[in-house]
Amino acid sequence: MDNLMMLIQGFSVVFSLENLLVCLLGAVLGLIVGAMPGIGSLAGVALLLPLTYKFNPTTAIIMLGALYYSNMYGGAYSAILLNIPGDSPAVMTALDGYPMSTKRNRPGQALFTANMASFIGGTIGIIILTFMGPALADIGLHFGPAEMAVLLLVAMTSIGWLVGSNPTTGVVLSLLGILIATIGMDLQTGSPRFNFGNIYLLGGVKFIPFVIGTVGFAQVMRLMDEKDDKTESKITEKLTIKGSLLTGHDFKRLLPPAIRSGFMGTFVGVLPGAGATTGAFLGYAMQRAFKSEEPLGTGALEGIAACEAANNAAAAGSFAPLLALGIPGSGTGAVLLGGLMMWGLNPGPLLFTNEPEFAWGLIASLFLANILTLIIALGIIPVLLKILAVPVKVIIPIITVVCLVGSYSDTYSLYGVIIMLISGVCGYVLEKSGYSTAPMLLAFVLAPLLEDNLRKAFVISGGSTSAVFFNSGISITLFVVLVAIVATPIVRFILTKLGVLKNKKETN
Amino acid sequence: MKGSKTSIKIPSKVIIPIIAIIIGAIFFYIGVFQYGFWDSEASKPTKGFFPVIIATALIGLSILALVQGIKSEKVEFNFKNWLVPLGLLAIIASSYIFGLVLSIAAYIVIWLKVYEKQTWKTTIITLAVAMFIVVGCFQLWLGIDFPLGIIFDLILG
Amino acid sequence: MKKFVLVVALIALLSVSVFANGTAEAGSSAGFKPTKDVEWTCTSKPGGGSDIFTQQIKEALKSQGITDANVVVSYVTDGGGEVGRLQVSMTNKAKADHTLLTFNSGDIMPMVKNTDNRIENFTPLAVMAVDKQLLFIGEKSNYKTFQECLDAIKAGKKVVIAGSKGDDIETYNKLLAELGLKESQLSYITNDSTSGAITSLLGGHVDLCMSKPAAAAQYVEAGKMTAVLALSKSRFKTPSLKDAPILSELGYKDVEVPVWRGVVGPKEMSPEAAEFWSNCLKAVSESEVWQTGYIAKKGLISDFKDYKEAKAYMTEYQTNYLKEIGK
Repeated sequence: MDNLMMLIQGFSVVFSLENLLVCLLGAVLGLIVGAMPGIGSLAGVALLLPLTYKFNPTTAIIMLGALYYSNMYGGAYSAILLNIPGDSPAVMTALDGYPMSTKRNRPGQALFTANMASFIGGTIGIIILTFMGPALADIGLHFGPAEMAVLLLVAMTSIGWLVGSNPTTGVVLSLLGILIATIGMDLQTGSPRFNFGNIYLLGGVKFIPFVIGTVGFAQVMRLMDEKDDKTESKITEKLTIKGSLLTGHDFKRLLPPAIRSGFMGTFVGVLPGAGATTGAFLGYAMQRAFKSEEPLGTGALEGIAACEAANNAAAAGSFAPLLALGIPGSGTGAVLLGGLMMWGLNPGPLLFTNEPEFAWGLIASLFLANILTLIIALGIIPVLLKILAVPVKVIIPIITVVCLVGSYSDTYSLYGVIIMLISGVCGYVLEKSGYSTAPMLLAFVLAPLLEDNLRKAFVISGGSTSAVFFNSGISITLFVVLVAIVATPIVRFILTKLGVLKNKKETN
Repeated sequence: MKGSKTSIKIPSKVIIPIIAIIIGAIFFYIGVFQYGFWDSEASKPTKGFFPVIIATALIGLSILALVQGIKSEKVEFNFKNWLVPLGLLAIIASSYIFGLVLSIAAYIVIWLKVYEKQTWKTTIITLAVAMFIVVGCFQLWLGIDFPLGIIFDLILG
Repeated sequence: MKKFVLVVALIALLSVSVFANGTAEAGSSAGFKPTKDVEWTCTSKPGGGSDIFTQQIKEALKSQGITDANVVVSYVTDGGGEVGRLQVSMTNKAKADHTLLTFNSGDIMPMVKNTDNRIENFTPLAVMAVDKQLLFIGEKSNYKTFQECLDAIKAGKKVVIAGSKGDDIETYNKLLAELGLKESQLSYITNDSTSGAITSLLGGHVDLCMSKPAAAAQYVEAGKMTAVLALSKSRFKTPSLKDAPILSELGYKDVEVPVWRGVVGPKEMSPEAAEFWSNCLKAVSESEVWQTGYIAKKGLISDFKDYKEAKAYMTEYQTNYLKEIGK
């Protein structure tokens, strides 16, 4: 196993005192930055990049890898504790994380689950990266615009799982989310769309302030209902590590989703244009197809495990095209790439041949960062839980400020804050009126990718629709999957009406 | 002491679909008449292709939602929830004059002391935490500049 | 009440000390010298190409002792960069001499296309580097030379080029016009960055990829990409690119849309300040750390134009582009 030998050599590079310390530092900083809403991994890595300048390239890259990785861990914290996702992949984590923390009264366990799932997903991702890195990257290359378009159509059907009780309102919001996402510069034609002559809207509606507003700020508005509650905080006894430990049963519940998502997430991370966020969405959606002890969306452990494992795995997966082909799979990857090139290390086909010490050192450091981050993350759970003990009356103004500053930081201007405010108010009104906003966010992220790939596919096929769907083995397979997903509920409905299938409504 | 109303009932389940229909119609109109649907010369979709399809679906489904909404009850909105966005607006407005950091500080003090009637201890600690996050984390460490407002701009030239 | 006032005063003082900059003194008369902090605006996110460019210059200014002015880089990314550009162009006289903006050919095109802003609202200070594109084939491409592509098009097949947004589109349009072809015969797919285009090429989903030398370098070296057409008035000199013909060798007029990276100031900047900054940037351009640490690493062509040349160059570029898009 040639790769294994190289990996072991890589570890020897990592285990110098300086590199270990730097890995630790990167892990801590990344955790903190990742937890802060508004600073996603892209901004976090970009902002922390200058800190790495003073070190030699290998050391700097190790720190950078640790930063990127721990960012993924951190995003879950504010999602679980405050219902404010720290970054876009954490949006899904909040869906089950926050209810588990509040309604089911198991905040420590929720954090623990997120950490363990992140670790498992990340480890699976890095192992796959080690043994199959270049091969994976090659598979990713086979996904051209047509294949991505069909894959994304499949992903969009997962919105169906999120709409909950009222499909009509859920889909209305999804469609609205897609339209909002079209505001701004159209990539393919280089001209503006739906900006109504406003110079700010030329840049479109930014996702981070949109999410912070819809999920976080709306949440703060809702908290006003609870602040005068006289009920004693029931959480006090659970604020220790001991109180946060997962039971054996919990472990058994979180393993299957974490492992499944670990594999799937790695693969999603390899695909062009799909990153940790898409991975998290798909991981959560996939979990819908499997049994969860508690229903998803009400604080199910499986929900947290599925998306956290997926997003860390995707982060690992995205290193495959980055290192093997020099192609960044996402904006964050682009920043990493820029950083690497600044030190004269050019990721790409020649990297593993020319600079094996560096490449394997980096992969080894990811393993290390994963373990270190897990330990630190678990260790600070009691500290984080103290946040929950703060009275709601005080939390409200603090979180308002955090939302404000977080959304400001994304656009370096008050534009982000305005978007956040408007989305927050709208999100609050929508949820109160029975419109669930989660599908809108999912649609907002996936639709632009879908549209872009669809239009590119049409250009390549010369306007022929069938050529898009039947372009290659991959697209045909995905198309069949798509038809199956769409047709199943319809077929089931018909068969039930015909009396062929017994009505299984009691499990819902 | 229930002299004043603390909430108001609004038929939001009707209003929301109506707004959605209007938005859908606007996007549809601009999409069809300004952006076109299909570029036959280049055999590819235009930038209006996707939005028009989505807008059409939106209008259709919103009508459905509207019908559902008319049959539903009005939704009750409490005034106190709206203090939060109002507070934020106040911070934004004040930031143009006094800068963002000071506005945030003032907001925390006023909200906790005047509105929530908390103790000085709670207020100062909260203020310190907020300042640590805003100034310490975002401004100093991550290097994000916040607006200074007219007054400081004048002082610092 | 006293405690309250004390605490507020303390916090106010703390905040002020955070913002306090150096005091402004009267500037010297002979020539311009910066007397306060210089605010350098970058209209794209940190970590991107423009940011790296800006940071490198900032570093060089300091490390080479060219000027001891404190340069503060601020990112104004609203409206796809247009807000930042607008803000800089409208900077008042008092601040104009200490305001700089990173400005590239990829910025000026959307600016004049989608807004009313023009180069006349700025004071060009320098052009630091120039880049040109080439067309590449990948390992899985159906065609081995550009002539083969042209033949295939004549035979009725469609050929697809993948490239980045901005400059590349302009080059494609000129190429299309020169070849006298329709968009449906030789199509273009826009990607957010060149790496996306290269991905499409390597995956065999498109026939050609447009790229500047820097982004393609390592793939050419690894044998995964081969240059088949140089979009320039003369062949490239680097060994890996020298075999790519220019259009005139194939019987057409050469097509070239140079991609430049420059620095500008607001319209209200004084001529003395313009000359000062132009000289500073010249010094940066000639420095070793810039040449080896940035230009060579990025595979760019160093082509310094001072403020007078830059003004003529950028204005001509704008005029040509405006004519093309029919404004």
